[in-house]
Amino acid sequence: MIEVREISCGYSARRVLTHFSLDVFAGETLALVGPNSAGKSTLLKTMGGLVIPTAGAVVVGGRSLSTWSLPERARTIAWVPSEADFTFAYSVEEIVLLGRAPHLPGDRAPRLHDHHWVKKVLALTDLLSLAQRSVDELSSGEKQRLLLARALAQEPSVLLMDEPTAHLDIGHAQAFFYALTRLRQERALTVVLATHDLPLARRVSDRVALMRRGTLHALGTPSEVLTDSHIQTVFEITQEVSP
Amino acid sequence: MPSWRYLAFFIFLFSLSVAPVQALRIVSLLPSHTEIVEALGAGNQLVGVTRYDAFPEGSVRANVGDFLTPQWEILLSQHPDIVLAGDWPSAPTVARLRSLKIRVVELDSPATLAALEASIRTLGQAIELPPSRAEGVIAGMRVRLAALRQKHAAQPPMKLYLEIDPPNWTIGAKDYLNDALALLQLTNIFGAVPRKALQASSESVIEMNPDVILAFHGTAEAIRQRPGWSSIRAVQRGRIITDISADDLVRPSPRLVAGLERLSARLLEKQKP
Amino acid sequence: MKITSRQLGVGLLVAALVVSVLSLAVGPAQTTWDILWQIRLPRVGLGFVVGMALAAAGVILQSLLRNPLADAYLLGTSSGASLGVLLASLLHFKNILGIQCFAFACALATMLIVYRLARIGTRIPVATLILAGVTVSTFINAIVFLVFSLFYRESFSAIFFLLGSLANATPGMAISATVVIIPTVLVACRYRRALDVLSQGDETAQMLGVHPERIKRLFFVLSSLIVAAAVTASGMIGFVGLIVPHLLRLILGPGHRRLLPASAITGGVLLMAMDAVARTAAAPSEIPVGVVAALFGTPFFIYLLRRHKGGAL
Repeated sequence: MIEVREISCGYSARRVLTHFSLDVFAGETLALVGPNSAGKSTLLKTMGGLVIPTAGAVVVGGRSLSTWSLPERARTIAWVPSEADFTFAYSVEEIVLLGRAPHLPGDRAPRLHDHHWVKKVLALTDLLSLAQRSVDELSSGEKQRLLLARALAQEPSVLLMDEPTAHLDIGHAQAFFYALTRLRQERALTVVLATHDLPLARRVSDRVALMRRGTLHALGTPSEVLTDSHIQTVFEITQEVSP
Repeated sequence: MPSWRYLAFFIFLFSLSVAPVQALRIVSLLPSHTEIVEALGAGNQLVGVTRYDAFPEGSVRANVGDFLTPQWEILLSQHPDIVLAGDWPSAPTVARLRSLKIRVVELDSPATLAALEASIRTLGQAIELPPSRAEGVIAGMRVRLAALRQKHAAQPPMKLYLEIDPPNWTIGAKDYLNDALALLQLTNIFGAVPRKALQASSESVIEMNPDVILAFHGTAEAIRQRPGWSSIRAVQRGRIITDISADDLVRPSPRLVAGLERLSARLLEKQKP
Repeated sequence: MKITSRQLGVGLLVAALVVSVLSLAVGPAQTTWDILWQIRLPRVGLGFVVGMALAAAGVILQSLLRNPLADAYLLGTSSGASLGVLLASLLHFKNILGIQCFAFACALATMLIVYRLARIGTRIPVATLILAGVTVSTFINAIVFLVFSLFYRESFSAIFFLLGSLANATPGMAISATVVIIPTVLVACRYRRALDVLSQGDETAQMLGVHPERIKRLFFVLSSLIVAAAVTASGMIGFVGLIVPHLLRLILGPGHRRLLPASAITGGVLLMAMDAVARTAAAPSEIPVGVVAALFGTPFFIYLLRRHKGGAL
């Protein structure tokens, strides 16, 4: 589904990724795991087109990402950031409806199909009862699910998530897992998530890409990759990974 | 035809030629113009005056605001034949009046007394009065001004600081007041500055050291207390005049003469030993 | 209170019609055909269009800059227009339309300066846009005052104008303002969803298919155009651009789908009504229309705020 081919990204002072390649298969959930400077976020953003690599290419669905227009991209790839800033007091439903924007060119009003889809997505992320609530009144967990819902409203084939549980406590993170798991049961989605959260990675992903300083340290199933020795090397600590 | 019919016909023709022309409806947008019109004896033709003018009992004048912000609706509803305006550069007023097809007379603010007299003549002509009226007003003014010059001829010349508005707004060379004040042996300390008005710095005033201060706003006490001003001769000799109304001197109209006469009286008081 | 879009649309339309007819009927002099045609119609028409422009620009800027204190004059275009009017005064322009065009050109020049200043590479961060706008504004206002103090007599009439008033509205001004403002507001309405998307952040906007820099540029230009047109016609009328968006956001919520068109129309209706009061209440004197708007609008706004009890803007 997504092929990252020999990309290099970075700033003048610092190279983040150099000649990095990775394939993401359609329908799989791939976790990008690694310490802070590993380049997970950058890789994710490159896959979404938020960062343009200085060399190499990202190919999505057989076409180079640079040839896609922004609305086209938005109909296929959706982004879930780690934190939300809604600026104004929109309602939950209004925010999710924004996710329909790529499907509504110009001034076109949302149609029945759009509203139907929004309702579906709200149900999936367990936000239906909060639909008319103002975003100001949501807990951080609910906000995170809202970000997920907005992304799903785009009807994407690919979901890119940047540290989705970074600001959540265990309870909220659990609720988020749950929504994600239900999601995978409902639709065939390709999901790439960058995360610190090793239990999440283990629980949710088909494959894990362990990254270290801009290179791929290990790639495989969670049990293959998330071994003590790998983790100790990459994170440079001694840690027990509790299952 | 019977002879009386011929007579009637001739009387009719005759009356046509001497019938008074329908009086012009005048709107004045500057108080000085209002005063000139009144001095010319055409005050009853004013159908619109500024908010700074007087509205005597029984007059038909309406308040049309002022030159910069006229009350357009009221102005129009008075159906003026002519509007007397000033010459403030590119104020939209004149352009608008012309686009409304109303006759406008723009009178420059006079820079000399001669120019002031000329403006009285111009105005008189514009409102279709016989020239003798304007000449009469001018002659009356000249007589009184000559009397003032006479009275002050023996006085020593004095330097004057004239404050129109605090802080330190005064007049330069291009103002008729310089001529008028010269009659009273007064020289404007900023009379060499080639402008109509300016805001002077306190330092220049102190440096110029005027003999007399004439201020239209504020009290003598306040002026005395301005920092550094205590060294000014006018302050030391107590020659600060603050009880003359600005309207008496600042309007380029015959009223100027009365203002000058009042100023003259004050000056002569203060110069008593 | 939930208001449906249909109720809103009809309500605003009726309000606009009623207020415009009443405004035309009211004034310090007897209503005659002449007065109506030459004075009132241009004035009421200009009032509607200027009010619409200020309110629409207020919505756009508050959204674009993500700042509820933004009003129509924040980004400097208005000070450029003011300087233009002043310079036209000094250069002895006699033609009213000439003055308007010149001032409009100055306003656009200011817009370009602010844009250049705010741009970093290909991006325009919101923070630098605000900074650039305020800086340029302050500088140009300083020039305006410098000119005023050096050329006191020649600039006096211009300063009066800049205090904000519809009193000198001519048919020409009303038409030229309308010709700029109405199409621009319509274009802004066409892209109003992008404002909602943009408010979610630049990255999110891009991932939702909206190019953040293009939209920022577009709305910057649109808002500058309408503010320039408004200020060159009627000086700087305060209050409308700041409060109308807030007022409507409290009632309708922040979604621009309704907020932008509703604010535009409400701004127009409000200014017409306020101007009618301004020219009649103390006749024959005129009260500055911005003052009337503030006096009447603020208490109502406070009432609305309290009803919402701290509900967010």
